[in-house]
Amino acid sequence: MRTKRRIIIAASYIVLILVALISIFPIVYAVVIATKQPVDAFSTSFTWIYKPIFDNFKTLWIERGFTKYLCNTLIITGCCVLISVPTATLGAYGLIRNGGKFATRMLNSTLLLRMFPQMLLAIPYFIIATNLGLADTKFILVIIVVASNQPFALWLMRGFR
Amino acid sequence: MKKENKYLLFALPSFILIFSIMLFPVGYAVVYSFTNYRLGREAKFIGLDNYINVLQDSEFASALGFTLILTVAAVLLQFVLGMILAMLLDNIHHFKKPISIMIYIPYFITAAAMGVIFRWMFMSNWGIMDQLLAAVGIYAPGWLDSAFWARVVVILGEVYQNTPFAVIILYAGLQSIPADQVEAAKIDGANSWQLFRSIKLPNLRQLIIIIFMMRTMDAFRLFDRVNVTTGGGPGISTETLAIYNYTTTFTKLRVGRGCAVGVITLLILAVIISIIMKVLRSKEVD
Repeated sequence: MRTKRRIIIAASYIVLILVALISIFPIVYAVVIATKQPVDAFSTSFTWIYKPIFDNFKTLWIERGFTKYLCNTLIITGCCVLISVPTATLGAYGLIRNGGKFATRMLNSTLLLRMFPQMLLAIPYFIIATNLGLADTKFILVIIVVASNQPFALWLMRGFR
Repeated sequence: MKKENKYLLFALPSFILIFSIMLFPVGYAVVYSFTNYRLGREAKFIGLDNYINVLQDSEFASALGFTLILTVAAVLLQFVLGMILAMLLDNIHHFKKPISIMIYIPYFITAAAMGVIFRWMFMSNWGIMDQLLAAVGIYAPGWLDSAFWARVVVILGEVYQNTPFAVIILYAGLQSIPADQVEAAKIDGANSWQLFRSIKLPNLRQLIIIIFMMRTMDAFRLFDRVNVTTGGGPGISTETLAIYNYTTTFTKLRVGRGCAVGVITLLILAVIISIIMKVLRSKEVD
């Protein structure tokens, strides 16, 4: 019995480590391509050993203003998480405690809104943002991302009861 | 006010956010689906013409067919693989953190970036997949040049990137199963299959429903990764509904017709999701 258990655990490790290696492969591959000379990056004979260059990173960080995009992303992601998680947790708690027909119906209708193809909403979102004078601001982007992720967050929180 | 209804107030911020932001855009799109609106021109009400045109379009049929294949194959694989990996993670005791983080990585990569990496990996001649297969003596097909293999690559990409989502949720679910239930079952002499079937699966049911719902919705509306990896090609073989929708709305600028595609997508998805919910809910025992 004990040996059987050991074999199972050993097999678990082997499978998991294999999957983990497959999982990081694209990142490793991307890093390799990013640090190779342009000529070698896409050659027909791929080599793992080479002299790395970091010109691409220099261009990205210094010349292309990557920091600005990174900051924007960080701010927007941070705000979204900070708003989404408390509202959804609170909402899901309320809906579970209530547990009525009305709550279920509201929850299902939020799902219906989530099913609509997002890109079609770009035009009406733009109209809203322009009319509110908020076009091209981080604020409206945060609000829209939070709102469109809220159904998912609600359902997810409700699942962990 | 009754005590139960007070709890609804907790959900108020959430619902205000959702309905104030989402209702108008969706309503707008539904209204415009009945017009011949093209960007920059006057809109005229034309009834159901858009819907009739779309449903008669063979490109739409092809896109719908591929989207259905993609959704069914990808979601089932994601669920099965996610369940297996979550159980294995639950099994081991050492190095849980590093292994699980490595497994979650594909889910953290931006879908478009993943599309680019997949495109490189599966390029004919210099793609690394061809070279890896050549190393073990297999002659790789022209992945992105054949309709069949391009579809396989797209489905593979979807499974690869979003299986971690199922792993994250199922693993969290497995860990929140009350230990006393597992103990009691073990004392009663349950083998591991019975343990899985009668203790773990019922406890995870809510989460399984969510995984199926969310993954189905997202797979059905898949756009960015496919658009970058294959661009819908070769021909229209890997064109999903979302890409068809995109070309109609933003390339051909037929906003009215694009909105009609959106509404049709929504209706089909609603039917699929309600079937999923019916089937999975019917298994409820308690």
